[in-house]
Amino acid sequence: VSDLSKSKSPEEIAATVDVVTTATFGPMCSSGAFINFGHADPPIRMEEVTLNDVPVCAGVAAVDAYIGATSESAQNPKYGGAHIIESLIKGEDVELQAKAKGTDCYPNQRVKTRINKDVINEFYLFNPRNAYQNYAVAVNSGNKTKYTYMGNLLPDFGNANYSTSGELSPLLNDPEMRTIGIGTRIFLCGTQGFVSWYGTQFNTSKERNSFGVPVGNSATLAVIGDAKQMDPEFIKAAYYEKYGVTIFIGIGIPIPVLDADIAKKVSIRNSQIDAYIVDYGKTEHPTLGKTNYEKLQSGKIKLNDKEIKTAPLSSISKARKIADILKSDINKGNFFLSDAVQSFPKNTSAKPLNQE
Amino acid sequence: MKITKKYIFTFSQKMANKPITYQLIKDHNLMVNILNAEITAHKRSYLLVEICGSEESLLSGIRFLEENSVRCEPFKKQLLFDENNCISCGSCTGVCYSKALIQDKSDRNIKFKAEMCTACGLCLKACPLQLLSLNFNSINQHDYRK
Repeated sequence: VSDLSKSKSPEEIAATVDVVTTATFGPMCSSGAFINFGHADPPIRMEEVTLNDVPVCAGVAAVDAYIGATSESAQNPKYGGAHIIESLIKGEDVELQAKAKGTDCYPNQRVKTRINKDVINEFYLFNPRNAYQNYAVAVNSGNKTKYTYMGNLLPDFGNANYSTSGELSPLLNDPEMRTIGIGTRIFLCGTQGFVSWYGTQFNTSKERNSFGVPVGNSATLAVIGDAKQMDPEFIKAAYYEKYGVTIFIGIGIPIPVLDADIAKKVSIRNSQIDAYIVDYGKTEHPTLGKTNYEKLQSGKIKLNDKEIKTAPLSSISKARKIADILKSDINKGNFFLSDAVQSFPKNTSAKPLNQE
Repeated sequence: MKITKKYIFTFSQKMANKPITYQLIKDHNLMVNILNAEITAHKRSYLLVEICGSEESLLSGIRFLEENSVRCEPFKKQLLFDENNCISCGSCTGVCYSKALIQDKSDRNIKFKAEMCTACGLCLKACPLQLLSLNFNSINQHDYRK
């Protein structure tokens, strides 16, 4: 539709295009899954739980737990919650160990067993912050490689890493979130999921450019979906050197072209989406300049007359695949677009944490 | 007809002070381009080289090295890329200065050109799925770039 907009007006697009499918497949640390193990006999009120030695959050009732994607094994910090989630989705066994003090109603103090997705009860992804609307480009002015969640940043501006799928990215195609809200049905890691809430650090107060898209990291989504139905092709555990474990999440969102305004918004091109360039070589991460996704995707950008090689962190090829699957599912009548139950809040900002 | 090939030369401590590249150039009429090297006094050392010359020169040069206890392995065999599990995120391309790992401009998939690789080892740490490995002990044992 971005190409279509070169020859057709928004009114013409609105009259001929019903839905535009958008997608992203990138590392999204703020992800995890709820799991219910079922009750043992005698029952246990699980207080400390590990899955393959990865600690999971057990502070939710007796046999519920939350597997945080970035939780890491003490024995092997390159292995974590993301790997547990991926293994369970693939149908593999993982070892569950649980400890408890023992109560009158839950007398059991120890459990050690193997579980997989067929023997557990519910297992659903619930990601607090996914699909960042936009994100700054990372460079390193220092003299040593910086190992970050933005990948390996080579010294002396050796590379510039960026994340988001640009003109294909969901929240950049509906920047005001007119069609995306609480309850929107989405493609989530190979199955149908939902937008469950606005994502954490949801910030609608960021500067916008003349095309109406935010320049910095602004809106985010909290999403939910049945992990038992997910496809391991669209959810992948990952490890960034000297940063830690994270997870690649595949999200696809259909945007109904309701009117000329939305037609105009979904026609956004990479050249119209700006991103700041931020220096991870300095602790305070100063902003050094601005670029756009057309330049970023060309393989090099210019900063102060220096040419810098660019590299993406999110996979455009997988994002395209997701958008195609979503399109075909909609065409076949397997995926129904849904109205949001409620719109996201306006005029929000993200607060810093003040230290005493 | 001239041919160009990449080799990893591995040699022991006692060969480390012999000018083997000089002899390859002078006695065997080969063009030698050193792409990577690690010369350590107390253990095995290696050279990653690209050599260019006639087939006879190449053969005589390799024979000379092997007679002097230098192990010569064609470089291609040393590179491992688990392409089937690649998600084509592109992280590796940012650190690959030899352009061996590139993202196809049209389908955006990662393409690996083994012949371009200089075995710098930077991509090993850049891949978030750890799909790249160098089947070469010296590089795996310690990071010579530090």
